[in-house]
Amino acid sequence: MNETPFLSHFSPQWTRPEALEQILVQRESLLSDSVEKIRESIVTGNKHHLLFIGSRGAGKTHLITLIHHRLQQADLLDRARFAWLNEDEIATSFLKLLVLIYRSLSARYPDEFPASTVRALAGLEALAAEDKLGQSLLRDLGNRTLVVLMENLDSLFRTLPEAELLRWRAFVQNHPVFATIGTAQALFSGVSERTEPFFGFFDTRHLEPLSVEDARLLLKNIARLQEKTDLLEFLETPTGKARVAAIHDLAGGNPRLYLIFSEFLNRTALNELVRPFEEMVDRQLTSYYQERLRWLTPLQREIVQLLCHHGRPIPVKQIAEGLFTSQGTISGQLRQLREMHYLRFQSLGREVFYELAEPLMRLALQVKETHNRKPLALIVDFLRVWHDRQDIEQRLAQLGSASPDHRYYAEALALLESGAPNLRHEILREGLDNLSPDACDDEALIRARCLAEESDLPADWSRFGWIQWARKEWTETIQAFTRVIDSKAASVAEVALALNMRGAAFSRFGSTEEAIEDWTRVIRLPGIMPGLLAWSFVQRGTHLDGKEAIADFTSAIEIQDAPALALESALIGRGFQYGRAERHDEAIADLSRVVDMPGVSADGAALALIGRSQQNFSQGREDEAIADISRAIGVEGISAERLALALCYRGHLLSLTDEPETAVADLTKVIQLPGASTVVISQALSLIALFHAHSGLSELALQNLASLLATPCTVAIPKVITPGIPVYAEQVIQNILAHTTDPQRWTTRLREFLPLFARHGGLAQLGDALVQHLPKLAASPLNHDAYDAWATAWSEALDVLSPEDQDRLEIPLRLLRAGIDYLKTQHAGSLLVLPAEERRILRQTLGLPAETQE
Amino acid sequence: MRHVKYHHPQMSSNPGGQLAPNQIVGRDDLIASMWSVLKGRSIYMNDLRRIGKTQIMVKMHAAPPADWVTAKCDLGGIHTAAEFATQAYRLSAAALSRTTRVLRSMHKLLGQAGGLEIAGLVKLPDGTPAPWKEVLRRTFADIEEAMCDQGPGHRMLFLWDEVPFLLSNISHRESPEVAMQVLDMLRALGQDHDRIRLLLTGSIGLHHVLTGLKAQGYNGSPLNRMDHIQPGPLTPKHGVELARTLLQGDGIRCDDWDRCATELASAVGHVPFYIHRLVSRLPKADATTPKTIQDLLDREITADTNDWDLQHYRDRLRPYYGPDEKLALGVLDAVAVNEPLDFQAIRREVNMSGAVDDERLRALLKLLCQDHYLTRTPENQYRFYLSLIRRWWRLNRSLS
Repeated sequence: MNETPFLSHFSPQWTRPEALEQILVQRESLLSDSVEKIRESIVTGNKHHLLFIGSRGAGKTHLITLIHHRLQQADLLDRARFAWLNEDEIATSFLKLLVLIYRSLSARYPDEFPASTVRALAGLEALAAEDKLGQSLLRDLGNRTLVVLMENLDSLFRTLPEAELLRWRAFVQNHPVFATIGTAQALFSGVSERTEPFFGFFDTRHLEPLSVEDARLLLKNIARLQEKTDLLEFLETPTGKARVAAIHDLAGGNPRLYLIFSEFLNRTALNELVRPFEEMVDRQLTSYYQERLRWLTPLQREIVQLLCHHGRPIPVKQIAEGLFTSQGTISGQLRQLREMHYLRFQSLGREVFYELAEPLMRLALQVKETHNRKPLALIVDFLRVWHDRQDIEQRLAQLGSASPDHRYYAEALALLESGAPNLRHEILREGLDNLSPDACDDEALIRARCLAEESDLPADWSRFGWIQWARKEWTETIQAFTRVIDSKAASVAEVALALNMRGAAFSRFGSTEEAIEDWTRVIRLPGIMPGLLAWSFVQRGTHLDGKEAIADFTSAIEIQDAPALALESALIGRGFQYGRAERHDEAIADLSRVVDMPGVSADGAALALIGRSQQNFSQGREDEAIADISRAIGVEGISAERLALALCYRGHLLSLTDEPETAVADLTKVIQLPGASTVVISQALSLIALFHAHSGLSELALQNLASLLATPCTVAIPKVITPGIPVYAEQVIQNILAHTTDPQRWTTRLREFLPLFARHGGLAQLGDALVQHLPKLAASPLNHDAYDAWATAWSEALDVLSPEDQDRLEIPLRLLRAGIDYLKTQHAGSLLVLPAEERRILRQTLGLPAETQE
Repeated sequence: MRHVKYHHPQMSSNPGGQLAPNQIVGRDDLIASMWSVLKGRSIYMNDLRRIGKTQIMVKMHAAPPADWVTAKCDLGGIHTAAEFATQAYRLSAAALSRTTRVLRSMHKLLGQAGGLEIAGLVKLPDGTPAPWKEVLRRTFADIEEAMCDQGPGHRMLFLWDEVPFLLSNISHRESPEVAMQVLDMLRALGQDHDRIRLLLTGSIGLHHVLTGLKAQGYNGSPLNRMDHIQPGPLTPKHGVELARTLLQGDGIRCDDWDRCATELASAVGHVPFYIHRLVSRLPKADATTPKTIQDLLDREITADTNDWDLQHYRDRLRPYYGPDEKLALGVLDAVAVNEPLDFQAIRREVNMSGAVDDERLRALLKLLCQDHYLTRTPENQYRFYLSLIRRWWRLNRSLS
């Protein structure tokens, strides 16, 4: 069996590059792009200077190790030399930097860069030594490119005075043989401020934190590398995904922490892992973070410590309360800490949550505080999040109490037994609590689904249902609320709300019967809240008709303490139902009550006014109808959809009351209104098209027709369009001929319209209109050549149709050809190319007498 | 849109790095005119940082006209007059060794062996550093002689980058007086040697260093006899051409190259460095559109911490303009919203109370142009020198 590949937590350069390649996630594009840039630096005169920015553990060394690895190719080896400076090396002058570079080259290429070169500098003045070493380096390098890898470039910039930076920059500018690959913890003034010598010198790239999915891929890659088949499979399960989502909050997208967690994942015992790990953290991280903390003011240190203890993002208010300080004071400090890259924040709703920018800081600081060997909270939290209680108990039973890892499992179990909430669920919930359902991205959806599946709590299923509702995923919504309805743990109120929502989802899905059944179940539940009861009546009433609907709306209206919006909806619903039953006075009374309701919604008021306008018009009160509908249009805050409806209805009314121009103006507004529904737009287009059909020819009419016919098909549109097809067909033919005499334009226009008519099954009517138009063609000023061109245009345009649709126009086109021949010759013999039945049709069309029977 | 024909090789973005001369594009006309000017006199080239001054030098150095010899050097790392003189000598020796006998007069000074023993400084045979003025004087004289030997019309050009840093370094390390002497020496040598020309530039304006030296008693005008050239951004045609080439070279996915290239180049004011930078930061996974370009740039320049440092243009108003800081803010706000504006319109915007004297406003406008905030159009109107700065100004100051 192969030995498990070694993955170093803190020094990726010690890990085999092949293993690093295997576990790489998210950064393939960045890696290949960077390799290409350095390759270009090696083989051309273009020299790149790359700087990768990311916090500790973000994967910088991993990345540059792979860049270096991928550049070790035969075609480059003769043309480049690599100097990789040690991470902790510092230089206080350009000369010392040159020495570091030369020594690195000596260690790797001793024959080409003899170590004696540096030794020979001893005793020289700095200026002379720098000059000599610079010349030696260039001479030994020959015509090759020197690729310098420098980690923690920000530290180097801190130690080099400006004068030395200028010398370095001048050397690089005067001898363009260098390419640089640098890393830094954060963007630093030495490269980002305009007054600094190296401003804009580096091509900076920020390493993004891993997303939940990236993290899962990383863990899968590690599992695959280590041949942990069970873990690999587990990570594909919903539970596995949920756990990755939960530990994501602990790791904060930091790849190094995932690497550390992965070590713990498949070990029953943590022997030989915990102690070395604690020591490593202490040795490698703590001094670094302690040093960073020393630069802060006392209050800033307290903030960092508070966030470290808390371990997860907390709002400003909580930080202020925890430190007994005002929010104003804390906010200023938080801003400074953010600018110094100690903290990061995220906005959820109105609140801003802060956490440590580097999760490793929490780990490191706690190591320092854990003098009594208290288990590291981050690892305990990780164990709590990853393992179930049963799992932890089993592992504890297998461990001797003296083993170092016993403390970790024992601490995790103690926390579980203390009645503390399930940390995994808490973490998943925290990320969702302040998120409105319509603001949930795919990652939040996964968290919500995992949480619901794991906890199986009605509240979590309900939250998932609301998210699916916002995404208009009706089947998923129905399934989620079904889990609430079927749950024994659900309260009556939870079941009632779930039934109401499931009914609404059924309704959207088109399952009206199931929807009505759900609302009926709500109505029959004892002791439910008045609001929910009222809404169930309103929704059920909306799906019923006549007396049943009126009864439901009336029940809703009679519920005391019903929400105003439900009352408004019930009155509107009943008003419209009364109208349909020709109970005009009652309809007007209900709708007027809505119009006069204090605090009525804008859309509610507008809909009530539209309804009242319809009632007034049906009663012959035209002026009142127009006044109502105009008032509806003027309601402040009205939605685009409702405004479109009102404008369309007023357009309709005005077209009936001899104000066609105003009507067209209203209808045109509908078409141009962003947010208007397709159904209303198609109605407006239809009305405009019909108006133009009756009032003459225009390019506008043609455009409107094209828009109308091109409107996406919904259930309602064929009903609107189909009756108008014969008129539209006639309009299209007349308009095309009227607006241009260019046969090419005829073909283009026909190619535009033919598919539209085909789509609406209107080719037969179009063919009919084409033949019927022949007398008008004869009366037009077009000459005989134009007649032929007209027929040719039709033949050419047919290529946009399917063969079946082309067949549908075969007879009309044959009739057109024969008719045109007749118009040109005025000789009835031209019609003899047609069979008798077609001759008869054409004769009728052309006003010729019927053929006499021989 | 009409497609532009491209004559340069495949290129990918390289913001801040060193470009091979054939990848420095859009400067050919300017360079031709500079060679023409150099026949008559030396040039001082001044403009904003990262506008591409060094790259112009690189391209000139790579392909000088037939009768020119060039020597190019970044002087920012030099801190003493002696180092500077040594560098001038060394550059000349390297440049002339390819074309003619080397520097006879200098060899005489250094002796047969001394001239080869250079480790940071030119030394006399006794090991003491050679007097820097003498080194410069003899080096220039040798070059003049060598050029005359070459034939009529032959000249040598020193392309000296980071001259302001050089003077500032000498002023700090040695004394302001030595820096003044270097300036005077250069002016005198330039006058005495018709076969030698200088092209001086730097990241910071030389006038800032001169102001400091004048405060110490310097009263020379070393730049008076030089031609002043401000290269500015690329022309829109060349800016778009560069953007398009880089978008394609970087493998950016894009449905409409011409629109995206036009949008990108114009958003960053056709400055090649910013074109390189913005292209390099476009995400490769998603298709790029004019909107994604605009959004990315806005995010980049307004991020909490960013490496565009356009805040610099706001922060330096106080040190530059002192009591006129507020007036400068008013002028820049007005021009940012409604550019281009003529003097009368600016006066109306900033002088509502009538408290600002016209001459004071004129003087300020002149300074704002000198410091590359504004530029004056041929129609005598003012607009932002770089559209990128205007863009940031509007975002930063929440101007509509």
